[in-house]
Amino acid sequence: MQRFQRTFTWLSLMGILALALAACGASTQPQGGAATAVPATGGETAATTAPAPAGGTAITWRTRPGDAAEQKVYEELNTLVNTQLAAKGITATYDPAPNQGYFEKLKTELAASNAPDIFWIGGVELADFVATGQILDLQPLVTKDSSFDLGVFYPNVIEQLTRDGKLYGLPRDISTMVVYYNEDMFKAAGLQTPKELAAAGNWNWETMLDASKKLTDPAKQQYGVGFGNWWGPGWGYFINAAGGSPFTADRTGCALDTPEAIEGATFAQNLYTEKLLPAGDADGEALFNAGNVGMYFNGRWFAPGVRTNATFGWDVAPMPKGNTESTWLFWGPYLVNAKTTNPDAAWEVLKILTSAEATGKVAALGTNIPPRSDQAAVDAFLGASPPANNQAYLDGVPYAALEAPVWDGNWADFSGAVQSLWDQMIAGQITPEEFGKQACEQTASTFTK
Amino acid sequence: MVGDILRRPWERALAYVFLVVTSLIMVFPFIFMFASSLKTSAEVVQVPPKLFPAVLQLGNYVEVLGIVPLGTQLLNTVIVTVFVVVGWVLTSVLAGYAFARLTFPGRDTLFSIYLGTLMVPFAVLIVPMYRMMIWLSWVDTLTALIVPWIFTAYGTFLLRQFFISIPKDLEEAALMDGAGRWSILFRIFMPLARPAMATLATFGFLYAWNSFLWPLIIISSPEKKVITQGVVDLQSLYAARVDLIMAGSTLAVLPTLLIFLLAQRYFIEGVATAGLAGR
Amino acid sequence: MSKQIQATAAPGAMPRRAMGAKALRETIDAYSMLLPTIIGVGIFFAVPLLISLYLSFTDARLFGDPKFVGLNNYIRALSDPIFWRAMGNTFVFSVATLVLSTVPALILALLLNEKLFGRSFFRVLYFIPVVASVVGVSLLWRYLLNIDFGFVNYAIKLMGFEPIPWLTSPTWGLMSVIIVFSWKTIGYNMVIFLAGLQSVPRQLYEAASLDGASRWRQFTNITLPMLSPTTFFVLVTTLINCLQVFDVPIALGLTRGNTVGPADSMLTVVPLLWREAFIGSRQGYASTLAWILFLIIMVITVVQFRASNRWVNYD
Repeated sequence: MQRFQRTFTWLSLMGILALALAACGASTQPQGGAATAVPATGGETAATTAPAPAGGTAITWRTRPGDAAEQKVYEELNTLVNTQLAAKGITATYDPAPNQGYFEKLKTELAASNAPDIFWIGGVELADFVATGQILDLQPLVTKDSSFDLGVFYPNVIEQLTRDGKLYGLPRDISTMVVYYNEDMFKAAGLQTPKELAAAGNWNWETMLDASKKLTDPAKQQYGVGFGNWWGPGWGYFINAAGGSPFTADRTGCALDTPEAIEGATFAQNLYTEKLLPAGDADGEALFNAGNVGMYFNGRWFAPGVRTNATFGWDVAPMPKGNTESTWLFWGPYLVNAKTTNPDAAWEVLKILTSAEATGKVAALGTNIPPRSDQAAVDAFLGASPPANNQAYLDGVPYAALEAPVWDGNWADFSGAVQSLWDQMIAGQITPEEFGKQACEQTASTFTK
Repeated sequence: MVGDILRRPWERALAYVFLVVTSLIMVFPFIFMFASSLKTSAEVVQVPPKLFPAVLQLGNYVEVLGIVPLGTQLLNTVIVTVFVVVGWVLTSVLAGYAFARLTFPGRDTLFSIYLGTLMVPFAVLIVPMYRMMIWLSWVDTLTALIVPWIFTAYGTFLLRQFFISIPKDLEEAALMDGAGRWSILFRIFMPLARPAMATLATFGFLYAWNSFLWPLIIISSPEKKVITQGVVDLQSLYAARVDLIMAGSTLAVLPTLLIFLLAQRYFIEGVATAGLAGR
Repeated sequence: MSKQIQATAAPGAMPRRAMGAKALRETIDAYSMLLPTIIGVGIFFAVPLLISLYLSFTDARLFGDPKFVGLNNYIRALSDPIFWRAMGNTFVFSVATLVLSTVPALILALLLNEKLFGRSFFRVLYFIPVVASVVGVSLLWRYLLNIDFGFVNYAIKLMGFEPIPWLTSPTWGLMSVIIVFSWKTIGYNMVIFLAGLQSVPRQLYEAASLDGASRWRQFTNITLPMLSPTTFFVLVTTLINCLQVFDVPIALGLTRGNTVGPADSMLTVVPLLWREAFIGSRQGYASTLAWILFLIIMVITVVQFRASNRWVNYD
């Protein structure tokens, strides 16, 4: 009798446990705005929690904020979308995701068929995602929507999104890379700032190198220049600005062994050898914000963080000219999940997310540059200061190299191999010539043509 | 005393110095981490590094709990840890008792096989477990962090060792009285096994609280992540705010330190027993 | 009815039918107690293990159906320079950590075995790094080892040396992982050694002292041999943990470009297989790497056990 009671009690406990766990696991829907459980400032975060859709359509969308300031911006955008679409019965939920593992998470969710309806990716990743077969072709939706003008977006970006007559997404924003500089530091050293040098047509690798050397002071742990150790401000920029390119013209092969590429690599290696910059990847960001770095190369997404953290006067300038003017045009499209339950509702949300008003608002809040060239958007962006010299970002657009998907190869493998060799080069273990040669040897197998 | 290594006073003094220096090496990083978590973001990257902040930035903790979102993640970690620990103890007591005190066909073979599973590196299981979670729709759920992991060969081994050492007459008397084995287990053996259960619970706590690889693979929504993931995300999202990263790391580490200090006996004796038993 | 039989029959002379019933009851009880474990281990261990073996012979990716490719993955691994780099790193890391985390641990254990004031306090302090989360600790060390504002380099400069690029130079990357992991493991090994030391009978030392043996001789002739099973246990477990290290290299070194440490200098086998599976989406290949690691661990452990016959004394 007692034994039976015991067994029964135990079995029911296990049963309850199992039920509780199943209930925990049942909610796989991302909670969107509710994720910011403890709002740091006031009630605006609460407003972005989408109310349970009462018979309307719920669309989830996701993008990747670079930091907390950027995240707030997207939450406000979500409020805007909901306000404008309330009449159509569509509710949008914003789901932020952090830097680390963003693309892996997306791919996992696509595999498990519970990815958000709309999500952002970096431009280079486009080929991988299209290859999954789960990206909705937007061309039919564009064609049947007479109120929508595709031409208002920067054509070079749209070109990257089109393949075989299909349009795979709309750009969220663009971001050119610029030089953030510590104005106080330049003035204290009696040097002309990058902005002044650029205005005088004298802002190039020589003057940049010169300023770096003059501002570097080991005793004060001060560096003249800094940039993250990844393809954007690292090997990508230096090779492009030297007149070369990581890829061949049609992006079906490696071109890192050309003399121009090697020249760019040599210049960059020199910066490290002379210890003119912090050697880590992201450490330079903390140091710039603390006032220890004179110039920092980064995209527009860096601005909100600098605004919050910097205690010195700062501004931006275009990238210095190497053999040619160059910078990156970082961009990322919103893609629509091919398995979305309501493509038309998703299209409505997408149109608002990329509208002049929305992108202007985002721009005004400082995070990014609108992907469209209509005046309203541009004006909103120029007015979003600090930094005062927003024009520097726009100046780069005509000559910028676009980060572009590698349709005929594997970008992850290519960049991983190149990065590894670049690390060895900047540590002085191999020469730039060896870097170029080995890079092309090792990446030959990553191309499919 | 005979057999001592340190006989003369100066040897003892030298030993003390050595012990103090090495214990400082062990502990100083934590002091530094905690002190840095209370600095401003500029103070933390200052050179030469100062140990103590000028003004205690307690606001860092408030701020860090609200982002990532670390507060929720801390809660998730607590939930997962509690369930895993309870699961460990229950399954180990049951299996340990069965292997220790019952005779049944296949007992020794089954036990050897179970023990043998300890040899398999976790890395071998991650890909198929991941695919299984997709199939079960457990991806990105706390369930995936709990259910597969409540079974432990180590725990079973520990409890079995313990139960074997209990004298047989306790059981025989109860059997004579007509008590069933389940009842014997719950009424007699479990209360006796409290020390072993406590030791197992402490190890289970460490295992669950500190686990990283599996949550990294299976959880991607920020509000479902656990604290280990949260701190790493802090590192990538807030690279410029080292002070916040230190605050987050402190939050990740502090609970284990507190529990350790409260339950040191169980931790240390548990490890020591494992070492002795492993011979 | 059965109670009467139990009460009156002599042990070993039970009537067959009662014995059968009793044994059956016991078997049922046992298996019902083992049921959760059997089911759980079956579903969440045995099945994945077999699936993993199967996948290692396929080109499984995140999407799509796996296609059987025979031994291709294994051949590919053996000719992949990144695989060999990871193997090399793992090997160097393991050997260095073995030394760095056992020798100091033994020394500390010997000292703490003495009657020193406050020794349980020290014991607690050494164990603290062991319980702290690896990830939290690694991020902490990431800042301690920073070349610009890290405390370690500050101390190095004070001593008159050049700061060391712990985390940014491919030459030093692996060393950083070794330091952090050893730092974290010393306390654990020390406690095990201490337990082993405390089980060595005092009389042995007393007898040796009476015979005039020096402390060093006592150490080599009594302590080490008596400690050998413990030492063996420490070596085996530390080595197995080293071969499977993941948290420290990833937390210390994962970059935006998905390299582990500068030029993949911190890349060990498990991070490599994680990267192949979840960033490269090559799950078949990753499974192959996992099985290769498994085989290596098995072989090394068997070798260690065989070798132990020569130097380990069990009483």
